[in-house]
Formats: sequence, structure tokens, C-alpha cells
Amino acid sequence: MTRFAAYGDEATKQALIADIAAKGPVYSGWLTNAAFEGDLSPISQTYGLHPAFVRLMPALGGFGATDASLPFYGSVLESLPVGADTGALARRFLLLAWTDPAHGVAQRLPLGSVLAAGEAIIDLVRASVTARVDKKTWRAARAALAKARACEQAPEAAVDLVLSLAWDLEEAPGAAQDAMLVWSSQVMTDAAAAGPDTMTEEENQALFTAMRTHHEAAAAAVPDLKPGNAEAYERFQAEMGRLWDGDPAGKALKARSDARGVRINAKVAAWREAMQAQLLELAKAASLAAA
Amino acid sequence: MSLLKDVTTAEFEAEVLASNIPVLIDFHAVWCGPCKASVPALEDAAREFEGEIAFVKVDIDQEPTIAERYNVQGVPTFIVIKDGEAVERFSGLVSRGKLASVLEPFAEGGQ
Repeated sequence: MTRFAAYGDEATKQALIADIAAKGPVYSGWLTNAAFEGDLSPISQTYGLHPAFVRLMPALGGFGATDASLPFYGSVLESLPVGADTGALARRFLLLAWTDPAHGVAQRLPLGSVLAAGEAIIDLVRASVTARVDKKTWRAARAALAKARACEQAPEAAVDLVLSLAWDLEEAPGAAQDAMLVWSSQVMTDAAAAGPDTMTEEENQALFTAMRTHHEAAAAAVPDLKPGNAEAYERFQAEMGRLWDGDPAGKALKARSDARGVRINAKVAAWREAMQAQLLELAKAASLAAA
Repeated sequence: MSLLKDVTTAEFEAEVLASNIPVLIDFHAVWCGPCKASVPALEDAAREFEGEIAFVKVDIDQEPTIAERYNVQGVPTFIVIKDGEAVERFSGLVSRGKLASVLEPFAEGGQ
């Protein structure tokens, strides 16, 4: 297996931590939305971090949408010893998508062939922590799960998450990022379905129509609305407020939708925080890469 | 080096329709966030199926003729072409698991 030994030396480690704390160029190119389309291999090469770990970090931190994850990045990187095997660390972390008692998908799959095929994949993920599993074996395991899913009812998101874990992270490190995206999407879907105030399809459609109608009317009333024109944007917002005030039914739906959005975001944030804490614990216990 | 090749209208016949292996077309646009989010999975899938399935990208703004030919209404849209015919189609941000499930039957002599 390709071995990446973290940092190489203490000075490199501290330089990376300092860049991230200051939201410097490494932070901007790695831990933000730039990670989606950027080539992250220079991060791996410069800092000795396995490409799967490099893909995992921005996904777990929310791609820099807020600064909330800055302390998390600092803590994980500080906890990682010089020479740590971050490939094994990434694999151990991804196992949580199956095993975590609160958020893992193991308990979501019904007893039967889908669960058995999922367990077979997780056995391979476990094995891959210490020894490389070849491409054919991963592919056969994915095919078995896909076949089982075709014959048996199972939650699609949970199956997709397990399928996202079934890749050789040496050749397909982006699987770490994809697994996190599928997992966070599932947490969001679960939170939306959990209530207490779920909205019907008709209510969602009515809200969408009202939003579009008001948006078009407000945009027409503020013809100079353009990116960067803060004063025009304020007038636009005021116009939107006036239009909502004149539409009590739509405004009530919007209030419910906004409150629901806050609840969903809170649940996703709680999941993210819990998973970040798990990665931090794994980082503290990380083994050193073999020479 | 990326295995996702950008194809133009002029290259489409030779690269896609006349290909002797199935081809996945990724219809995308530079302004499309979900298109960018799909890239790591596509890059990995392209490596996984190298020699079995070809992967090409079509920018719908640069190559509207191809997009119109396949009635692409939004991006990302993915179409599998086999022997010159569209045999599979799906849209939106696609998970790696879904991508593999769709493509594996076309690999190594499947279908």
C-alpha cells in the first residue's frame, strides 16, 4: 500500500496548522469549496497526508461554509503525530458510517441478503485498514450488494452509502469525500422526515409558487438589482418583506419552512460535530506509517 | 492525468458514436456546483473502468448541438452510449454507489 507519513517533521506540521488558523492559501485551496474541483495531490505530497484523508477533511468540515470547523481542523492536525498513517486513519473513520450507534447505517438495513452483502463490504473495509484489497474484490462486493438491492427492499440512501465505501482508497481516494456527502445527505433527509412539522407536497408546491411569484415581482420593482449593489439588495429585501406581508397564507408556510430548515441544520450540525469528535479521537490514537 | 476527456461536436462521432466500448457522457456546465461535486467520483470511475467504459464530458454551453440532440434539460445529466445508442440516462448529483451500480453491468462484456 502507498504509505503517507504525516508531515515529515514538526516544522512542516506547525506551518500547516498556522496556515489553516490564518485561513491562508493552503486552507483556501484545500478546506473550502475549492476542494471540489481542485487537484489536492500537492497537499498529499507536501504534507505526507494520504489522499483519502485529504478528501475527508473538507467534507467533514463542511467545505468552509462557515468558520465553525477551524478549531476542528487545528485540533485534528495538532493531534496527528509526525509520521502518522492517515490512510489507515481515514479507513477507520469511514467504518463509523456503518458502526456508529447513532448515525451508522448498519441498523437501517433489514435482515436478509442486502444486510449480508453490506456486512461483506464492511469486512473488506476493515481488512483494508492493514492490507490492500484488490479492485476485483471490491467490484464483486459492490455487484453483490447491487444485486441484493434489486431483489429486496432496502433504504436506497443507506445502500448508496455502503456502496460508496466499497472502493480501494489507494486508487479512488475521492470515495472518502463521496461517502461523507452521501452520509450528510442522508442525515439531512432523516431530519426533514422526522418532524415535528413536516410539510405536505401540496404545501411545498404552494410555497415554491409563492416564493417564485414574489421574487419575480420584487426583482421587477428593483430593476437595478445586481451583484455587489448592497443598497439595491436592501430595497429588494424590503420589497420581498412587503409582498410576504400581503400574503398571510404564504408567509405562514414560509415561517414553517424556515423553522424546519433551522431544525434540519441543527441536526446536521450535531451529526457533523459528533463525527468530528470521533475523527479527533482516532487522530490522537493514530498509528505511525510503516517505513 | 484526467481520464475525463472534453469532446466537441466535431469529435463526437468518432469519440462517442463510433466507440467500440460503451461511453458515459457527462453533460456539465462551468457554473454548475453539483457537476463539480461529481468530478471525484467520475475520475475514480474512469480509472476503475479504464479500457471497459470510456468517459467524456460535454459542456452544454460550448456544445449546445450535442445537448439538444439528447434533449438535455439540466446538468449534470449522464448518458451511457453503447453501439451509438443511448442505453441509460440519469440526472443530478449522483453518488459513487449509484454510478457504479449503473456502469458495472456495461463493463467487461456485461449487457
